[in-house]
Amino acid sequence: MAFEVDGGGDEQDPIMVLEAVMADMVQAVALALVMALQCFTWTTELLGSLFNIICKDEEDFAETFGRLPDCLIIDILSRLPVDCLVRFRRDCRDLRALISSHDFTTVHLSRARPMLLIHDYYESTKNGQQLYVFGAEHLNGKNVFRKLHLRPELTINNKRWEQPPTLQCSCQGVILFADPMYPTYYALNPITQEEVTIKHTPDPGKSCALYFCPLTRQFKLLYVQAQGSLCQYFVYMLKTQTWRKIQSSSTFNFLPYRNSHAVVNGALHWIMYTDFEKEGIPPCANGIMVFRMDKEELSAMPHPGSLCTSKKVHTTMTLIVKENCLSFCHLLVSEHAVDIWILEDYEMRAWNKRYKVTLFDKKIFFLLFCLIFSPGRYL
Amino acid sequence: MAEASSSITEKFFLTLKSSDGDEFVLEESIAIQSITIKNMVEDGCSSSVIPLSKVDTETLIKVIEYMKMHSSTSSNEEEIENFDKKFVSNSINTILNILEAANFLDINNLLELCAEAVANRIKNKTPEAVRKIFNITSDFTPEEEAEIRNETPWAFEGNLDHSLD
Repeated sequence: MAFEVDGGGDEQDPIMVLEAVMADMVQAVALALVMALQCFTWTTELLGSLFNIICKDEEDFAETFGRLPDCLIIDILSRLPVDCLVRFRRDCRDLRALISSHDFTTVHLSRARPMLLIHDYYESTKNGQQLYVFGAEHLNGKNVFRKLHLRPELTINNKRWEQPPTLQCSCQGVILFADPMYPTYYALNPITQEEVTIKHTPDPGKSCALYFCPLTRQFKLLYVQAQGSLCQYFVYMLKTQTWRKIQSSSTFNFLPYRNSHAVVNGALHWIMYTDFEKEGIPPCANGIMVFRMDKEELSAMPHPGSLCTSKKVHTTMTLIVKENCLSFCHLLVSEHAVDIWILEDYEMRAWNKRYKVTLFDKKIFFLLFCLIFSPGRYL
Repeated sequence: MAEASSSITEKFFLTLKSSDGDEFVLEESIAIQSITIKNMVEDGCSSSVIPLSKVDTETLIKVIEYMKMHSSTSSNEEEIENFDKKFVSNSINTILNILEAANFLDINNLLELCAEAVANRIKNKTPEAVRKIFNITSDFTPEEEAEIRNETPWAFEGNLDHSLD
């Protein structure tokens, strides 16, 4: 695959960008071709060097867990895959408490790399949910392709489904499914096999994002109801299992495209697709929808680049996080290339078009298609 | 190779003393890979012998071997890579001792190498084996252990390694 770098500094790593874009491209292609498999990036957040803060403390030379200082035990454990950690919870109470703690999860997540989560929907209609993960695991960084274990007793695994729940998105390892017939959601933690059923609000709508709120330290679901030309947004708190209506000062009658979002600066960002007040016109001036997690406030900002000729162009755009900055990727279908912009100054909204990634040739789309469609053959 | 006496740049030497009382003389430029030693040198505490009360002789020999390999200008990347590979094939007990020394001496590369090696070695082990390796005393009753096991039976499937090394 060939790529060009436009004005990138020395510290930039085009391969990394490419990987991130590839992961997103896999999504885009999968959705565009309406294939039997649904595919999402298993997103993890890089939370910086919390580990260093925990371990550079003198007190951490304490030895709670036996022969090694605690900070070394934490360091070793944070390098292990989750299934090992689940096994080692059995070793002692302190270790179990440590592995289940939020601080440890944060350290562990900071070492994790993004993985693809693949849903074999065709097979799921017959034999219960079939989920696979693909990507570089903890340790060695070798690529793995393996099936996720799902307890047969889970609601999403119930064989009586005529149409089993579909995969919506994932957030820090928690997976969200939706009932295709009724607006009911199922949040699943595949590690603990815990499942939460989220009943819809009185009127049906759609989910925008499953996210982890760092302030309240809980998972929340952002949900929207569109009635006529009016949008009403709600937040569902998984911990208390309650809904809350979002009070916005001005009317916010926009809908995002897809529920994949990017988290930067304490806010969630999506590509906007529908403006109910000016339907048919691409909402470029409000091209990016922003949801601040602390104030639970919705707003919008323009997307970089020129104005789009049609609303459909917005379906080829996506947002990712690169170097802790919001990054805007635009797939130029006719040129077989991806433009990547970085929001270098969030407050000033200073975008910089940093890369143009040229996809080798037309066959790349075909290759991606094959990779998703018959993973067993290629791995 | 030129004789040390004819060298223009003057070399400083430090004496490190293990917990067993053995003394090792090491070039300062090599020893300061340890941030702990570097700080002592900068604070002027290194004129006499540096006592390392937490590091025994066997471990200190290994640590010095590592520092020599990683500072010498003559060793190339491939050599270092092979050295590291061989280094982590030591017994898990030795690696844990080195890890602890690396933590005390603040040698980040060595700490990374050992922590990664230990993680690799224990990832397929049974909880019992890990308990013994880390010298952890279980405070669970057998019933509680069985309960935890039943929460996630899949985590205990497959061929687990019972060995302690």
